[in-house]
Amino acid sequence: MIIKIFVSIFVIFALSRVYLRFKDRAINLLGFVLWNLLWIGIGFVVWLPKVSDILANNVGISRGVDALVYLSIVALFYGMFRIYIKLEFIEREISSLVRGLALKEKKDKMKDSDLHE
Amino acid sequence: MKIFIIIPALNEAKTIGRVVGELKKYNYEVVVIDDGSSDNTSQQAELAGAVVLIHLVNRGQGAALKTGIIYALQHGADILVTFDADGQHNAADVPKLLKPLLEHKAEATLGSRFLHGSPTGMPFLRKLILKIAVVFTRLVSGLDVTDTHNGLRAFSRRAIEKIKINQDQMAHASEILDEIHKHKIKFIEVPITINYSDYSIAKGQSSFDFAKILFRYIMGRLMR
Repeated sequence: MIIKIFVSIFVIFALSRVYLRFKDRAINLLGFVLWNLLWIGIGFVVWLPKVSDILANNVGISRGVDALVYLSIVALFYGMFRIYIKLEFIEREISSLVRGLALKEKKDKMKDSDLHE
Repeated sequence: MKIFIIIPALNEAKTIGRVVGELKKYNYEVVVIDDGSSDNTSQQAELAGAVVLIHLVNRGQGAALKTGIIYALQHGADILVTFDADGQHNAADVPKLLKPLLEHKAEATLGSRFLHGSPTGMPFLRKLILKIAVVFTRLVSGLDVTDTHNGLRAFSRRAIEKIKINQDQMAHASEILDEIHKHKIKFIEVPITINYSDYSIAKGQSSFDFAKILFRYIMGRLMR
C-alpha cells in the first residue's frame, strides 16, 4: 500500500514538471501528450495492476509488470541510441568548427605576412 | 607538380622536427596539423619548415587529416601523401608511393608493411590484430589489401576529392578503404618499412583501442 502512495506522489510530481516544461515551451504539444500518457499510465497500473495483466496477456506476457519492464528496456535502449546519434553529430559539428578556425587562422596569418612584406 | 605531405600530430614535439626536416629535403610541401597538443609540437614543426594548422581542441586523427586535406586542396595540391608524426615512417618511402601515381598507373597508393613478409620488431599482439583487421576489411569493404591501418598513403587530387572522411577518430583508416572501394579508385599497395621504436609503440594504438575503433566504425556505417 505504501508503495502505491509513494508512486502516486511521484507521478503527481512528474506531471507537474511536465506541465511546467510545456509552459516554458521546452517540450512541444506532442511531447506534452506523450509524457502525460506515460505518467498517467504508470499511475493507472499502480492502482489497477489487473488491467495491465489483461493488456499483457493479449501480447503473450503473463504479468503486466513484466510487460512494463520489457517496454522500459526497449525504450531505454532506443533512447540511448538516439543520444549516441545526437552526440556523434555534435562531435562532427565541433570538428568542422575547429577545422574552420584552424584554416581561417592560417589564412589570416598569411594575409598579415603578405602585408608586412 | 605540387606534392603535399599531411601529418596529423598530437604531442609529438620530440619527433616532429626530425620528421618534417627529412621530408623537406625532398622539397615537398609539408602540412602539420597540430591536433590540440599540449607541448610545443607546432613550434617544432614550424621551425623545421612545415605549414602548421592548429586545432584548438583535440578532434582525432581522422579530423586532423581532413583539415590537412582541405588545406592542401585549397592550395593547389596535385598529389597528397598522409604521413605519421611519430617517426615510424621513412621519408625515403614517399617517392616509392609517388611513382605509380606519376606514371598514371594508379589513383592511390597504400603503404603496406606486410607485402614482403612481416616487419621485424613488431609486437605479436599488434600483428595478430592487424591480421584480423585485414580479414575484417576483406569481408566488410570487399577490398583486398594486406595492411589496413597504415598511415602512409598517397592520393591523386582526383582520388582524394572523391573520398569523404566522416570518422574523426582512428576508424577513418577503414573508412578511407571503404571509399576507395565505393568510388572504384584504382590503387596499388607499395611495400614500406616501419620503424618500431619503443617510442612509436608507446605512442601507437593500444590493442584495446582496436575494439573502440571497431565499434565506432560499425556505428559510423549504421549512421550513413
